[in-house]
Amino acid sequence: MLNFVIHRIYVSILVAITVSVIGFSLLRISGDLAAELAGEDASTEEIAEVAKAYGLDRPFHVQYFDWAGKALSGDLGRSLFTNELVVELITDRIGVTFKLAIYSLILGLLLAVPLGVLASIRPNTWIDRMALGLAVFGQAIPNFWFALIMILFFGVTLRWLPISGSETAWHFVMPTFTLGLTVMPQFMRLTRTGMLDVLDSDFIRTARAKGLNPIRVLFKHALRNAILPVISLAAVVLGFLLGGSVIMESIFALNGVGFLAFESIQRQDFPVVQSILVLLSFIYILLTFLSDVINAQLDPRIRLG
Amino acid sequence: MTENRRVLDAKNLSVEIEVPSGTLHAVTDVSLHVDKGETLGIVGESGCGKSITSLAIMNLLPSKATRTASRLQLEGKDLLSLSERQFASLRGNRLGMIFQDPMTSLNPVYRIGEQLEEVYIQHGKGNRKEAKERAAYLLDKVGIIAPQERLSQFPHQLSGGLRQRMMIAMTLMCEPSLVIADEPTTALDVTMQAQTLNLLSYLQDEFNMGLILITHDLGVVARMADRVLVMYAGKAVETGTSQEVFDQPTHPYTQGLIQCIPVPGRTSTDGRLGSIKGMVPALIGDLRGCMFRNRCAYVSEKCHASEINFNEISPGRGYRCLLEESECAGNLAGNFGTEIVQ
Amino acid sequence: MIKVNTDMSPLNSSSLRRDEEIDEFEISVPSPPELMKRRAKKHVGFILGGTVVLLVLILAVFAPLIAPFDPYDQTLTNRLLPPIWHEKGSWSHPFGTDALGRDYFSRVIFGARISLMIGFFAAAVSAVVGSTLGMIGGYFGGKTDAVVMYLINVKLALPGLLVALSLVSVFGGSLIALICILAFLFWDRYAVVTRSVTQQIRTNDYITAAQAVGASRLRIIVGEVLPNLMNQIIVIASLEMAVAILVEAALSFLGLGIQPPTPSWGLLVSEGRSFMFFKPYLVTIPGLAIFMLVISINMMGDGIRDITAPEGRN
Repeated sequence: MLNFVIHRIYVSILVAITVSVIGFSLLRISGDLAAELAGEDASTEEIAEVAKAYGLDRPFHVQYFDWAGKALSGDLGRSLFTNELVVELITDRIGVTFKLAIYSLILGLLLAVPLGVLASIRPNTWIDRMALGLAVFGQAIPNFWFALIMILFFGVTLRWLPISGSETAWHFVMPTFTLGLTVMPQFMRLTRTGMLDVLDSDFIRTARAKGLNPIRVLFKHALRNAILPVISLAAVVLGFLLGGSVIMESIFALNGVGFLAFESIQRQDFPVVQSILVLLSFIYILLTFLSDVINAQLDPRIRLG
Repeated sequence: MTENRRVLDAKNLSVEIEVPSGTLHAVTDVSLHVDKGETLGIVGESGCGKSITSLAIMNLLPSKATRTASRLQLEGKDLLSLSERQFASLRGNRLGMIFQDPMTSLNPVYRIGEQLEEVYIQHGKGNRKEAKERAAYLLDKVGIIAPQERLSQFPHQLSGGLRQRMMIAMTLMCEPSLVIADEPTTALDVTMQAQTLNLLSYLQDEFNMGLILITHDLGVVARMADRVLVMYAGKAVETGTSQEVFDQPTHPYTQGLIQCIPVPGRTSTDGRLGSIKGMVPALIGDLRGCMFRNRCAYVSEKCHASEINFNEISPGRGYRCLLEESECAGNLAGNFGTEIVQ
Repeated sequence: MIKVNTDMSPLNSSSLRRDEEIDEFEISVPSPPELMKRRAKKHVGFILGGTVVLLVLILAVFAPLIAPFDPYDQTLTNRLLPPIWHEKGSWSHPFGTDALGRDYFSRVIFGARISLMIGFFAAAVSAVVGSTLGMIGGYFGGKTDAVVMYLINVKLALPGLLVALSLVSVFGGSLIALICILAFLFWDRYAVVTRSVTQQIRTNDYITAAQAVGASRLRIIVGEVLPNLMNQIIVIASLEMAVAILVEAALSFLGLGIQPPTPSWGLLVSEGRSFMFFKPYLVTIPGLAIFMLVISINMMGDGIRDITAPEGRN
């Protein structure tokens, strides 16, 4: 187990460093970030001035290490647009993004796992078809469009829910539901397939041969085995939700990190963009690492070697 | 008098399974019985229906399968009218089953102690403490040293032989009167096989239970079984005591099986090994006549169309063939002698 | 002791006479391609999905012939005309017109081109890149595999949507750029699966046999490993095509995808958003179009998987 953890840490660090370089360089790929910032009609001198002002005239690795060094001590620079500290900008908004992501994940799981279990014990019946139908629906629907439809219906026509802002929990209902609906399908399918596989296995046959209560067999024996991949996936999906919240945040005017990144990308506000990219990547790396550890912990074959 | 000694009584047991190409007659008209302290060996090649027979007795058939029987009784109690729930209260309790592959048959995420104890507690035999004691006692009885330590281990931490012993212990937790062992030694290596069989033998004496031993290995049957049931293509083709079946095999298939066993000192080293040519037919659809006819030396016109009934020579001894008993014995005498020379 | 005389066994010699009777028990089983054709004909999802995809494809290919107007043609006097199902609608503009007086029906039809092209090529390019990497990693193992895994992990760590948005802001929203960017988003899915399957296949005897005969590694990978992966790659490709269409629509909706005036369905939703409360059809129609296409592709992809490998399905 210890070897496993050490190896994972090593890989994670390597990936993190690579990702930080990529995140740092993404907006600079075009070659001339200074020119972009200076504007279309800028003269060569003006561009050079901009480059000097933002340190863009230095060699790449100098820029990177300078930024990385400062970042590690908590200085992520200032926004080009508002001149606020990037750290503050992010910490102000990360709560909203996190809330949205976690609520959506929980909703998705709450819908998916029971449906998946039910579908697996009654395969090819109406409940199975309904579960699969819901999965197909959730996978095909464009989330931005569904959000707009919900706004039209619940926000305007029925006036049940608020359509913008993030003050109260009610503000999160529609975006959470939209995102939950889009992540539910993968979990449902994974649960269903996992359960079907496990229910077919020899040790379930043994459990039945022991005359155990069928509910017990279903949950304690079957689900306990089938849920492992779902937990791994949950960590990955959480990472994905954190990175992909930009659409929901912009439609529902939620002041989160995704929306900040979007605005910053449009404005070429590179200190903000690179910090957010790298931060989200690191969170993802941490999440997958944790999920591997949890997985290993839950499966005694890995834990005890 | 035989009634309270009789643990299992099954008559005309049949199992049909719906498959895409039709109806699969997995088991047809099998009758068997097991008494206390007796070992019945069910022998036959892969696919002959012996495992399905045991699943039918346990009510563990897949959902697409239908079971019919004119009688199925466990310790005198009728099983056919039981609901699945009632059956579940008997499984693990009055009848138990040991499966072939102990690695896949045990839940990998739970400790051994837990898996042993839960069957005891489920059937209301006692509380957790008593279950633990019983578990340790049985692990010791099956020859596992340091049973207390083993209780907190996981299945993957045990070797194959120990896992099988653990499965045996698990089956015995509630003192069942009937134990079905489905190829219990097939997944083990040869040394473990002998030990496991000895163990089963010993346990049967200790607990005086009925044991059904399912195997394709004639050697195992010869060693362990008091009585034998030979199955072919889903049907019982011969029954009798071990002695009877091995010394006077009646059905051509049984004769072929016995004859295929090379005998050290007897079988010439440059001769050919015996075999039965041909393959087992598929059992789907409308089946008529004898299923062995494409491989039998004594086949005749009648074997194709008629219903081949089971002839009972005497209680517990019989065969399924159109030939007369004397004819069968004749076939035998012509081709291998049955003199037992000490 | 029992005397056994195997040489003169009646069971051995007589069975030679019985060869013709052995056949009476045979059941004929159709060949795999036959089986697949049968399954395909019966599979509702595949047929339904495939039909819709085909229809959309025809619409896209023959768009200039089918669409009544040029989708870029602005007639500012005809702005926001209602669609056919309103009282004031007319057949000259079945879906009405948008804010710049362009015929909506034509714009929707031409939008199909964008979606299909981007979806297809993004899926195809990422399939090639991802599968190749996966096969190489899975086949060679060791350091090569470590590199492939490292690349996959790096890709997975990056927040896809934000990276895509960044790249579009740098490279622009042209068709080619979007295809490449989307391909970059999806290649890992193929790599993971092909790597895993290749690892399993690697240990099979037919690979060892090919090596023993002296086949070059390239030949083995392309000739023995790839055919076994094709089914899975195609299934994944069809599903990823659907995702690509959804992501393109999202990017265009946000404004960092296809640029106006090119009619991408995502862009149409975004353009219609300002008028959403009074003229919801400007939003519902393109959204429905996306939904229908994506769901049909998914059904087709599921169908392909069921048809080519029903054991993989439960």
